[in-house]
Amino acid sequence: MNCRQAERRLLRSFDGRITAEERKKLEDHIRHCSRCARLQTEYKTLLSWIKPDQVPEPLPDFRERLEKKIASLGRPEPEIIWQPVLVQAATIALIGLIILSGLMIFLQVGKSMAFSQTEALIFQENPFPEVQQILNETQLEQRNLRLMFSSLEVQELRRPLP
Amino acid sequence: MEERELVERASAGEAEAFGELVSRYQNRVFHLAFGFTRDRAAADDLAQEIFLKAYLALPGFRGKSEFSTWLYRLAINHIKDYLRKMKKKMKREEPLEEARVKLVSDESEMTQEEEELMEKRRKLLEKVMATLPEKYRIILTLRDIEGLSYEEIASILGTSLGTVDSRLHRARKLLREKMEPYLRQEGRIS
Repeated sequence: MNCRQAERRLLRSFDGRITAEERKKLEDHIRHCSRCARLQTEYKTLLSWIKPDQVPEPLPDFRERLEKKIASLGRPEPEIIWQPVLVQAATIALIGLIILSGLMIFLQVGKSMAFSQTEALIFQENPFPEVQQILNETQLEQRNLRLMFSSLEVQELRRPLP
Repeated sequence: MEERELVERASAGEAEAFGELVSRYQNRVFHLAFGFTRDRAAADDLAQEIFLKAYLALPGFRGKSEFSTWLYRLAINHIKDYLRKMKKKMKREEPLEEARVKLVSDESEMTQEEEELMEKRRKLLEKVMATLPEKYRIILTLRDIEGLSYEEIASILGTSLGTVDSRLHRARKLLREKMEPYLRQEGRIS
C-alpha cells in the first residue's frame, strides 16, 4: 500500500467504509509511515473541529411563525401544480411545430420539382393541335409543304399593316 | 400518523398535516442550515424559507422519493442560492490571511483561554469552508456535520455512491490542505 492509497483508505475509515483486512493494512502502513501518521492526526483533528460542539435549536415558536407566513400566502395556485405539466406540454408543442415546419419546407421543395399547373396543362393537352397534325404527317414532302404554308400564314399575320 | 398519509394530506391543503411535517423536520432542516451559516438567526430564517418553499412545491411532490430526501434536496438548492448571495458579501469581509495573523498573534492568550480558542477555530474553519467550491462545501456539511449516510447523500444530490466517495475524499483533502498551517500550529500549541 502506498501513501496515496493509504490516505484514501484513511478517509474511508472515518466513515466505516473499509474492510477489516483493509484496516489492518492501513494500520500497518501508518505504523511505518510518519507522513501518513501525521495525516491521520490532522484529519482526526479537522473532523472533530468541523462538527459543531453545540447545535442550537431553532428560534422559539418556529412552527407558529411559519404557519402565520403560510396563512398570509394562502393555498398554492393550481397553476403551480400544473406548471411542470404545462412546461412539458409547451416543449412538446414547440418540438412538434419545428418538425411540422421542417416537413412543410421539405414538401414544398418536392413540390417545386414537379410541373407547375401551366406546364402540366401543356404536357397533358397539346395547345397546338394543328402543329401536331403537321408533325404527325407520315410523308416527308407533305409535311414540309404544310410547314412552309403554315409559316407563311404566321408571317402574314405578323406583316405590318400598310 | 404515517408520513405518507401526512404528505398526502398536506398536499391536499390540510394545514395541520403540513404543520406536523414541520414539527418532525424543523430541527433537521435547521441543523442543515446551521451547518452552512453557523449563525442561529440566519439558520432560522433559512429554515423558514425552506419550509415555505416546500409548502408551495408540495402539490408537485409525486412521491417518487422519500419525503425527507425531497425536502433535503429542496433545502440544498435553497442553501446553494443563499451561498451564492453570500459569496459576494464574504469577499468584502475580513480576508483569510488577516484571520491567520490574528490567530498567531493571540497565541499566548489562546493557551490560557480555551473557550476563546474554540471560537477562533470555529470562525477560521467557517472562513476556510467558505472558500471551498460549493459542491465540496455541501458534501462536507451533509456527511461530516449532518452525519448523513453515503446512500442518503447520493439520493439527495442525485449522484452515484462512487461520486459521493470521490467528492468527499477531494473535499476533505482540500480542506486539510487549506487548514494545514493552522493544524500544525495547533499541534505546536497543545
